[in-house]
Amino acid sequence: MVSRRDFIKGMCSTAALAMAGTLYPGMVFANAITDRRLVVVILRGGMDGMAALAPYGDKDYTNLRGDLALSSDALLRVDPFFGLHPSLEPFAKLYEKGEMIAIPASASPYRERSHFDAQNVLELGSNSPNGLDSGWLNRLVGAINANEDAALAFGQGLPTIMRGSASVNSWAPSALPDVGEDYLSLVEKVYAHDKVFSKNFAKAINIQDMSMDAMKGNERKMTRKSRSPQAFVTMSKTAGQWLARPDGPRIATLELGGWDTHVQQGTEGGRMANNLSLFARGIDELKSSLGSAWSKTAVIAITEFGRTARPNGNRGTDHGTAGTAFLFGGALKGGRVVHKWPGLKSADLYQGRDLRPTIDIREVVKGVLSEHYGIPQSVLSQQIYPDSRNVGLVKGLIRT
Amino acid sequence: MTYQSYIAAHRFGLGAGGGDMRGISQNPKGWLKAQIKSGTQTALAGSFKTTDEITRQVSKIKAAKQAERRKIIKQGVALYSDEMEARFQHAIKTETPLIERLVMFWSNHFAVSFKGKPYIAGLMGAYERDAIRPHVLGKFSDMLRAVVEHPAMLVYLDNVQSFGPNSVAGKRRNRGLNENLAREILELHTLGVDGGYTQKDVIEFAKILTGWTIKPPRQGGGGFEFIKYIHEPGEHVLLGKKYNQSNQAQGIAALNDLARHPSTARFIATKMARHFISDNPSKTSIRKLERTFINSDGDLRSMVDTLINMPEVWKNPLPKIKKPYEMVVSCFRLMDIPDNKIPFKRVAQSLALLDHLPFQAPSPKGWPDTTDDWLSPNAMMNRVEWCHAFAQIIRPKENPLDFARGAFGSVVSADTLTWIERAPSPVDGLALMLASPEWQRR
Repeated sequence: MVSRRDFIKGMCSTAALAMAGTLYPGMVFANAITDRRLVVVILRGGMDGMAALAPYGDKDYTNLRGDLALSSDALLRVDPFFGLHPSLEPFAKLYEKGEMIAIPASASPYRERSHFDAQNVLELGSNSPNGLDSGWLNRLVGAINANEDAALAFGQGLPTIMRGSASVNSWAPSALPDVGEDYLSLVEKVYAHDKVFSKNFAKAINIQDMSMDAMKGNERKMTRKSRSPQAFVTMSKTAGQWLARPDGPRIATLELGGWDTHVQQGTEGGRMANNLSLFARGIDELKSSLGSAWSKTAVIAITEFGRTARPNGNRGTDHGTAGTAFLFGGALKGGRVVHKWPGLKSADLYQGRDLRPTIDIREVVKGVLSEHYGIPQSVLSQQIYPDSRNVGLVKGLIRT
Repeated sequence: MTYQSYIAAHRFGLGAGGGDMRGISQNPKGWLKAQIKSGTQTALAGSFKTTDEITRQVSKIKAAKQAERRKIIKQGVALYSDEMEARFQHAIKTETPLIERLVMFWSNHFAVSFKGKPYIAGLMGAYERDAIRPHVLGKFSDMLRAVVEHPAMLVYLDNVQSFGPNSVAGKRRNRGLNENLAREILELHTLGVDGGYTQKDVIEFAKILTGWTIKPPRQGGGGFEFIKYIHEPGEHVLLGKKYNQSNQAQGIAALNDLARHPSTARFIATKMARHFISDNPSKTSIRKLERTFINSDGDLRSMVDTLINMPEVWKNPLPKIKKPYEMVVSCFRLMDIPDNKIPFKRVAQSLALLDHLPFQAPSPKGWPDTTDDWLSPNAMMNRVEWCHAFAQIIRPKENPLDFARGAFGSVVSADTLTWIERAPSPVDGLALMLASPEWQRR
C-alpha cells in the first residue's frame, strides 16, 4: 500500500509541475492554479436574502417585511444600511477583516419559479434550464487546464455545476460497509489489465487515502450524523483540510439545503436562523482548516433564487427573484456590501412581489474568476458563460 | 463457451448464471432472435393502477394545500416504489432479458424523471408500461405518439402549462407558450441537436402541440386530453412544411413526419449503435441501422434484427460498461437468491448510492451511455464496495473459481481467474469476480 501511495503522490506532483507550463493556449495567467483555491457553495432551496442581510436602513423595510422584519438592535450592523442576521456572527468577523463581501439584489438570469430549473440555470451558466451540457465550474476546470485531480465535489453524486467533459472527482462519506485492504489490493491487481479501470481505481484509492488522512478515520462512513444538516459543517472542515494539502484539490463544491422556507421561517430565532448558523459555522470551519491557504482562497456562495419580499400567509416566504450572494476568503478585497439597491416600495419590486435583481450573479463570478485566475474576458464570455458578452463584470473583488 | 454467448447474455441481455450460459452458448444469435419473434410478450405481468387513475391524483396537486400536497407526493412515491419492485423482480427473472434491455433503452431515450417534480413519481411506472413497453418491437412513430400523449411526459416537460397565445384560454388567462416539450422532442427524441431545425421551428412546433394536456380536475380529472380552447388556432409551418389540420390532427401529422425524418433515422441509428456496439460506433455501422430504419418505416424489431446480424457486434466482447442498474440486475441473475432475502428497499438504496435510481435522470436527455460517464473515481469505489457488500450477503461457502469459469467462459483473463483463486476468503473471491472488468463490462 505504501508503494502505491508514493507512486500516486509522485504522479500528482509531476502533473502539477507539468501544469505550470501548460496553461490555456495563448494565454498567460496572473496566478497559477496551483496555489489559488476556489470553493463554490450552492445554497439549495432559494435562500431568503433579506433574512440573511437585512436592509435596515431602507425606511420601507420594517413595514414590508412585517412579521419577518428583524429588529435593528438584533442585527449585526456591519454597514450603515445593511445588517447581518444575528446568527451570522462569524461573517461579521470576516467582514471586519476584509474577508467577506455581500451582494444583495443579485440573481441568475432565470425569472421563473421552479427550483430544479433555477438550479440548472445557476449551475449550467446558461440562459435556459437545459441550455448547456456542462456546468460552468467544469468548464472553468477545462479553461484553466487544471490537472485531473484539481476539482473535487464534496457530497453524494456530482452536482450539475461540476458535470461535463473536464475530469473532476467527487467524494462523500461511504454508506457501504468497510472493505479490507486485502480486497482492495486484489481489485487493483485484477484491474491492471484494463487501462480505464486501473487509471480510475488508482484515483479512487488516492482520494480514499486522502480522506483517511484528512478525517482521521472517524467520519468516512455515512452515519446518522453525516446525513443531518450538521453534515455541512463537517464537510466544510474536510474540504478545508483537503484543499490545504500541497497535493490536494484546488477547486471544490459544497452544498447546503434547507432554504425553502415557505412556512414559519422565524426571525432572530427559528428555522431560518438555524440554517444561517450552519452556513456560518461551515464557512468558519473551512477557514480554520485551510490554515495559511485561506489567504489564497475565494469562496462563492450562491442560491438559485431569492424569495418573495413580503411574508406569505404562513409566516414564510415563497419563491422569488433576487437574493443575496456572499463571497468569503483571504484573497478578497472585502469588508463591503456591493450593491445597486433597487428599493422596497411596491413599484420597485419585481412583478410587484420580489426584490428586483440589479446585479447578475454571472457578473460577480466573472469578476472573481478574472482577478483570482487572470482569465481573460473573452474566455469568460464565451467558454465559462457562453453568450454572456452583454453581461459585465464586477471589478475589484480580489486583492491583486 | 465463446465470446458470442457472453455478448448475447450481457450486451444484449441482462446477464446470466453459469447454467443459463450453457443454454445460450449453443446458439447465441438464435437465442436472441427467439426473443424478438412476433407474439413475444413485452408487457409487465401484474395488476397496476391505470395511468388515468394515477393522473387524477397528480392533477390535484395544483390546488392542494401543504398537507394535501404532502399526502399526494407520499402516495405517489409509494406507488413508484411498488412499481419499481415489480420491474426489478421481472428483470432478474425474465427469460426474455433482451426485451427488458430494450425497455430500459427506450425509457431512457424518452426520459421522464420525478427529480424536481416529486408529485409525478407515481406516474413513472405507468409511463413505461403504457408508452414504452407495447412498442419496443413496434413502430418508432407509435412509441413517439404514445410518449407525447402520456401525462408523465406532458407534465414533466411542462406542456400542460403551454397555452396558444391566441387560443380562447390563452387570451382569457393571458398565458403563452411553453416550448420545453417541443424543443426536447426535436433535440432529444427525434431529429437530434444537429438535425437541422431552428428556434423558429421550436416555437411553431410548440404552437402545434398546444392543447395536448391532461383532463382538468374540475372535470373529474384523468389522463391525456386534447383541449381545443388551449390550442393555438391556424396553420403552422414546421421544417418548411405547412400543417393546416385543425385540433389534435395537426400534432399527430407533425409527429408522424418527425418520426420518419432522415435526421431521426440517423439519430436513432447512432444511439442504438452506441448502446449495442461500442461507445464510438463506426459510420458504417450507423449507416446500416439508418437504412433499416428508413426501409422498414421505423420498425424497431427490424432494428434489433439488423443489429443481431451485424458482424461488428460480435467482434469485441467487452466494449461497453454496464450501467449500475444493469450491473445490479446481472449480479442478481447470476446468483440464485431466494425471494425476499434482499428486500427491495435495500436494492433501491444501492441504486441511489450508485447514482442510478430509475426515473431520476439528471435531465430530459436521460442517463449517459458511455464508459467515462460511469467510472468516476467515486463511482468506481462505490461499485467495488457494493460488490463486496453483495458477496457478503450471498456468503458463498467455497471459492467461486469454478463458478467464475462457468459464468465468464472465454472472456475472462487468466489474471482475473488467478486472483479470484488466491482471494483470502470465498466472499472476497466472489466480490472480486463481480468487481472485475469482465463482469462490470458487457
